[in-house]
Amino acid sequence: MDPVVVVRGVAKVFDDPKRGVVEALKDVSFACRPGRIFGLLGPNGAGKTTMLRILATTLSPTRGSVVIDGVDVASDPQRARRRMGFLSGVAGLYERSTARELVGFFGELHGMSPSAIRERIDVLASLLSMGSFLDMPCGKLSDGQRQKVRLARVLVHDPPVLILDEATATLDVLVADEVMRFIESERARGKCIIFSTHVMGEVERLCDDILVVHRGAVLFGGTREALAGDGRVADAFLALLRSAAAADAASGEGAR
Amino acid sequence: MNPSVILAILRRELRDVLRDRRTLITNFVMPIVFYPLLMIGMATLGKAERDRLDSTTLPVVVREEGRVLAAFDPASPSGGFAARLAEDKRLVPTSPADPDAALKSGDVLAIIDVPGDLAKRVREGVATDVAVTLFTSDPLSGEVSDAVERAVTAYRGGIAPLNRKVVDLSPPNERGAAILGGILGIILVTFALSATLLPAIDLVAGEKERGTLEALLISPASRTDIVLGKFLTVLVVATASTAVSLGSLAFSMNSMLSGLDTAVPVEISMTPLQFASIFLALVLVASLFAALGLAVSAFARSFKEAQTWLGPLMFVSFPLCFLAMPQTATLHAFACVPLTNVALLVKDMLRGQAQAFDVALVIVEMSVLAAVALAWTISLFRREDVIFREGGVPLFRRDETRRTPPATAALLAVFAAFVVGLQAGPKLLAWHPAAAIVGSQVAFFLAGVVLWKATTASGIGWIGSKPAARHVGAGVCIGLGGLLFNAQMHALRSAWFPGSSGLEDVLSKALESVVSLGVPMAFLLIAVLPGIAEETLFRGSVQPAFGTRRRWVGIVVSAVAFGVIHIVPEQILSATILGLLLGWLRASTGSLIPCMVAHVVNNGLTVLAATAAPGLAPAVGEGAFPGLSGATTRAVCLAVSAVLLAAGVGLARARVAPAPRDG
Repeated sequence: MDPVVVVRGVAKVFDDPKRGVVEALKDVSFACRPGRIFGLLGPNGAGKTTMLRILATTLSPTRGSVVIDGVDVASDPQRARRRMGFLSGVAGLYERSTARELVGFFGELHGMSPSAIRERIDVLASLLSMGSFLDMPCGKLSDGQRQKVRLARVLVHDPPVLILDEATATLDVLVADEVMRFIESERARGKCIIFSTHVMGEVERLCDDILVVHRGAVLFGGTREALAGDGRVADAFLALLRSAAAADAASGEGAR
Repeated sequence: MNPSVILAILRRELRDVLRDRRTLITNFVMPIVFYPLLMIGMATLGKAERDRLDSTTLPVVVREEGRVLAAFDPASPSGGFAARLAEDKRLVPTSPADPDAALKSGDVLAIIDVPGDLAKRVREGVATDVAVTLFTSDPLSGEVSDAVERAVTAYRGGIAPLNRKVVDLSPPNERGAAILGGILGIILVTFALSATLLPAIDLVAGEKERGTLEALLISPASRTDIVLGKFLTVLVVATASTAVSLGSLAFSMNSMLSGLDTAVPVEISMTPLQFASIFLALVLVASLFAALGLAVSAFARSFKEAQTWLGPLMFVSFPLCFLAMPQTATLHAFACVPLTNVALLVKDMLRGQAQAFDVALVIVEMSVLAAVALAWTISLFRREDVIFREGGVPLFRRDETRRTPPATAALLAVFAAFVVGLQAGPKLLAWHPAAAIVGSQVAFFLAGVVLWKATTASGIGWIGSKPAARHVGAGVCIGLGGLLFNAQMHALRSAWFPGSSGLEDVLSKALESVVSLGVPMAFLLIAVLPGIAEETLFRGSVQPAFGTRRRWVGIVVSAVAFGVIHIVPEQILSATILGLLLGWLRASTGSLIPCMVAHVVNNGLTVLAATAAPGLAPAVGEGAFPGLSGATTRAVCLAVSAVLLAAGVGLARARVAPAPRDG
């Protein structure tokens, strides 16, 4: 199947007033296919959030191109945003809106009709077990319930591409498992899912393809099997990072 | 209670506060710098206002036993008191046929009734009143009343029972308007400020902090839609909140005033027009604050940071409100000063003294400022270094790829130059016409250059390409042809609509005054300076701001702006026509030099005509050409003008054969 997300030679340079010019991404390329979960891995500061924000069109790449479901994000960011759902790790909720109002509001932004929004909310409430708190203000929900509302928000328009940044952080084991099962079901529906996490267990369970970034550069890109073989992803990931750190130290870059 | 723990917490918190530069600047540096400046500014303004009042004449009627005195007559029975009144040189005794009618029409400010046997009564200690009949709703009534009080005090000396008795003829509603008008505008601005900032901060900085803004930015809503939606929210909330506050205040004041057992009843009421104008003023000021509030909070990373940054807005707003406080401050004097003009608009509307032009100027200026602030906010929402700000970022950032200024900035530059010209022009003109010309041209030139330099990265790009000789020739032809054509238009206009706005006469006198400096100086001031400065702003910077795809929009907008800044109604059309010709020339040749040449030729010939035949020149500038009369002359001139313009067009568009290549 043709890739739904195609990233070619993306670089991002920030002119940081304190740190000077920072090269957050260096020539990153990858492609994600429908019906697969693409894991974006890397230590803190590797450039994962920058890459995800470029995919979400809130940052623009200094060089390179990103195409989502046939739409170039640089030339038509609004149309690109209609084709994706982005769940950021720091996303908040409107505390005084009920879950139903919040999800409905984002449906309106996506140009959905009131009846389509009603139907979609019913479907999502059933899929994510939200029926008991759908009409409660978000400010009164537990962490797990809030995360389900966030998921419903990004799924309201049923986009072909899902970008999930730290989707299970702050969740207890039970809710995290529920969320992961939901992600698996979306994969089964043919969604292309880009998934970023620090929890290697989730990578083992969910990811089909993996991209490892370190200091803005790609260390590895390929299938989970190609990265870890029969072993654990966590071990292969750590080995990659250690060898990269050693190379940096040898070249003097580590002192940066 | 553990003192050591309390001290430890105090030390930590203080250390934290002292490390926060923004708090230090807002809470310590700004007050140290700002309040002395505020006091100096208010003292200077107060003195200027006092000087103005001290030089204002106060026409009054002085009656002695019902007999009007033509002058302060020391020989009259109440001569001693008249002498005291005469000590205030501003009081001018007048003797209208019907003093009461003159008072009602505003020809005199007060009628002072003095008993004929005043001296005897005072000597004998008989309780006596000097009655001052006036309209307290008139801003100058207080000056007359105070002058009479001073005269009474000086005349009675010791403890003689002589008093001033004020008889106020203002109807209760005008009295109420005078009281309310003085404070309502100021309250409106301050209420609108406080009602706007909190929602503006919450909707942007608050949302950033709560993590809900990013979700909105990732939705298909455009940045413009997001900003406009938030702007309207703030506007509606602030307007409703301020309207409720003002309504409650007015109701409370009315209840309080009507409950007072006073000899002079006061009533607060409004006509629908006054109500509508106050509501409009509220919407204008809330729009500006809403847009500024959103812009500043877009920079902030948190609610607290936005609050700190918006502090200076209050520091600036309050003094501008204070400017409207003096009873005698009028909208006409401050029509171009933002916020002050809104407060004064309310005051003058309530007093029924607002002039249509001043009201229009306030509406246009405040709308332009709000629109610019809104455009700035939208541009900030498009900047990722602002939305995902981690450290300091510049408030304004020049786009290094931009080759021409943004259209919004261009319109703001024109508006700023227009407002400065309108405010400072008359003062400079009163000093010397040459100063007015130099001042306005410097303002135009700076507006054009600053606009270009601040927003683009293309050096002196407003000049465009190096012109070919034929392009310069095109400039000469269009300058001459445009002058002849406009002269005919001017002559026709004078024939069909013989009236004059009066401003044209003022400018004719100014022209004579400049010509009296000598032809070279007049040529420099009227031809060369405008040729360089006005072209730099209008054809050099404003026109290119609309881009090549909207070429005609740029030509028309810059031409209309060029017409409007000529202010004199008789000149606006001819200047706009010349602006269209020059705009086309700029677009066709790609160079500003031919436009400058055309402008200098056009204005230079006006100078030469005025020098050669002074008195015949019907006006200054592009619309003037002397000595034309008769249909034949007009037809010939129009034909010559058409030939010259056609030649100019031909020269500007002519293609040059490429030079043969060597080899």
